Amino acid sequence: MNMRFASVSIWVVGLLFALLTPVFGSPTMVDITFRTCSLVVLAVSWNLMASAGLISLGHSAFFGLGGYAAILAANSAGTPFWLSLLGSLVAGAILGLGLALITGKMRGIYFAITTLAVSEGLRVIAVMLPDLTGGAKGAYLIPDNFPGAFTVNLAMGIAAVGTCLIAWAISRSRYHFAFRAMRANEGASQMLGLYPLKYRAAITAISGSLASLAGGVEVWHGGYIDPALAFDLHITITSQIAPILGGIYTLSGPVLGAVATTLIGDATRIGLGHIEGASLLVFGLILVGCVLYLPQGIRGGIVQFLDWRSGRGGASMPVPADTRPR
Amino acid sequence: MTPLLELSNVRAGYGHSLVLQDISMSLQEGEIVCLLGANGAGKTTTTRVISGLLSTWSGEVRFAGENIAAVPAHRRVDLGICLAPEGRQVFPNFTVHQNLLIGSYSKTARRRRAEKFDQVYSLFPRLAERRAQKAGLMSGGEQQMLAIGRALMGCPRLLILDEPSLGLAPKIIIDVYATIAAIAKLGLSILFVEQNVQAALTIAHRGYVIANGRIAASGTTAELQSTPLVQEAFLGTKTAGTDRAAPGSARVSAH
Repeated sequence: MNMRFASVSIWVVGLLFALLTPVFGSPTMVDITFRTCSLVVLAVSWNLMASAGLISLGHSAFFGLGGYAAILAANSAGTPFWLSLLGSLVAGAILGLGLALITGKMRGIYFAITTLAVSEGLRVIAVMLPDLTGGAKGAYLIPDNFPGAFTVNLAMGIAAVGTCLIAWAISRSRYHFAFRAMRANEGASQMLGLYPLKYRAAITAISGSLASLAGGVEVWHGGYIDPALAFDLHITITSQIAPILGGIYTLSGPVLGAVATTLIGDATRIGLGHIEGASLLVFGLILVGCVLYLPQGIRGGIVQFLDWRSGRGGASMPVPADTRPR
Repeated sequence: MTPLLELSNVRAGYGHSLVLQDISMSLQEGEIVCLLGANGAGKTTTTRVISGLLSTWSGEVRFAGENIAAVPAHRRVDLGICLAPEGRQVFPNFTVHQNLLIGSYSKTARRRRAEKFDQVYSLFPRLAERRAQKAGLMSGGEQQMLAIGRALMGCPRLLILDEPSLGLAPKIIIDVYATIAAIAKLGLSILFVEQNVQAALTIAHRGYVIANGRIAASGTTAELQSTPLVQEAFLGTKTAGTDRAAPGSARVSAH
C-alpha cells in the first residue's frame, strides 16, 4: 500500500468522523468524538508552539480564558453561540500575543515556567473577581441562546478540522522553515535575517486562539464553568501528552495521539473503573510503555512499520520524526 | 572613498562586563581584512556588534556611510551583512539544501535565490553532492563550508567569517581557505576572524590585531608579519598582566 494514499485516506476518515458523528452517531460515540475533537484542537495547538521551540506548560490558560470569554459574552450581552466563539478566538489570540511580548527572548524552561505562571495567575484572578466571573462558585450559562447539543458537537468537529487545516497550511508554507530554524537555534536564525519575535508572536497568537476556541465550545457543551475547571492542570498535561504520544513536531502525530489518549483513557476507565485507582495506574503504565518503545510516537511507529513492510528488512534507517518533511 | 564598514571608538560588552574597550577599524569595498587576536580578546564580540546581535554601548558602526546602530540584526542581513558564525551553527536537522534555502530567507535574497544556489553549488561541489544529507551528519569541514555557503545565500556585500578554521584538521583548513580565496575572487568584501595567523595572512589584504578589547596593531599583511606584537598577541609572551609585571621584575634583577 502506498504511504501517501494511506495517510490521505486516514485523514479523510478522521475528517468524516469529526463532522458526521454529530449527525449519525449514537450518544456514546458523539460524546467520545466530542472529547477527542477537543483534545485534537488542544494537542495540535500545543504542537504548533512546540514546533517553534516554545514549550507551553500553561495551555489551560488559553482554554480557560476562551471558556470565560464565551460565557461572559453570552450571559452579559446575550451574544449568540457562533459570535461568542469568535470572542474566545480573539481573547486567546490577545493572550498569546501578550505572552510572546512579555517573554521576549526567553527560551526553553524559562518560557515554560512563565506559561505555567500565567495559567495560575488567571485562575486566581477568576476566583478574585466574583462579580464578573462568579468567583469560586463558578458561573452557569444562561441558556437563552443555546443552539442545541447537535450544533455544539458539530462546532467542536469543525474546530478540530479547522485546526488541522491551519497546521497543514503552516507546514506547507515557508514559515514552517522559520519555525524549525527557531526551534533549532534562535540566534542563528536571526543572523540569517529572521526576526524571531515576529514569528513567536504569530505562532503564540494562532496557537492560543485555537486552544481558547476549544475552551469556548466546551463551555457551551457543559453549560458551567469555574476557575478550577477552566484552568485545570489536567488540560495542560493532556494537551502535551497527546502530541508526545502521537509524534511531536509532526502534522498527524498530535491527532493520532489525541485519539489514542481518549480511547485508552476511556477503555481503562470503563474496564477497570470498579477497582479504585487501577484505571489511572494502567493508563499511566500504557503511556510509559509507549514512550519507552515508541520514542517517535505512534506516527513514528506506523511509518517504521510501513517502511519495514515495503522494504522487508531493507536498509531503511529509522529517521527521527523531527526530520521528516511532514 | 567612504569605507564599506567603519567602526569608530566602539565600546560594547555583556551585562556589566566591558569587552570591547575601544575598537576603531574600517574596510573598503572589495577588501579582505582579518581580525587577529588571542582567546578572549574581543574578536567574536566585534563580529556580533557588526552583525547586530550585540548593541554598542557607545561609538559608531557605519555601513556604506550609514550609521546602523539602530538597525536590528535581522534587517542588517537585508543591508548585505551576512555572518558565518563561530562554531558554524548550521541547523543539524535540516538538509544541506534546506540550510541554504533558509540562508536566502530575507526579501532581497529571495529574489536572487536561483542564481545564488548556482553560485554556492559551483563554489562548493561537495555541498552539491550532499544536498539531501542532514547537516548534522556531515564532517566539521563540510559543515563549515555549509555555514559559509548559507551566509553567501543571503547576498552579502560584506561577508563575515568567524573562525572558519575552528576545530578543523590542518588539511581541511587548507581546503576552507582555498574556498575563501575563491570567494574573494568574486569581488566580495570579506571580514574574517582568525586565531590561525599563518592561514589568515595568506589571503588577507590587511589585518587588525585585537588585544584586551583594543586595536593593538594594524597594517598590511606584510607589515603585520614582521610586527613582534602579532607574536605576542598569539603566543602570549606578553599578556596584560605580565606586561606590567615585567618591567618591575626586570628592575629587581638589575639591582
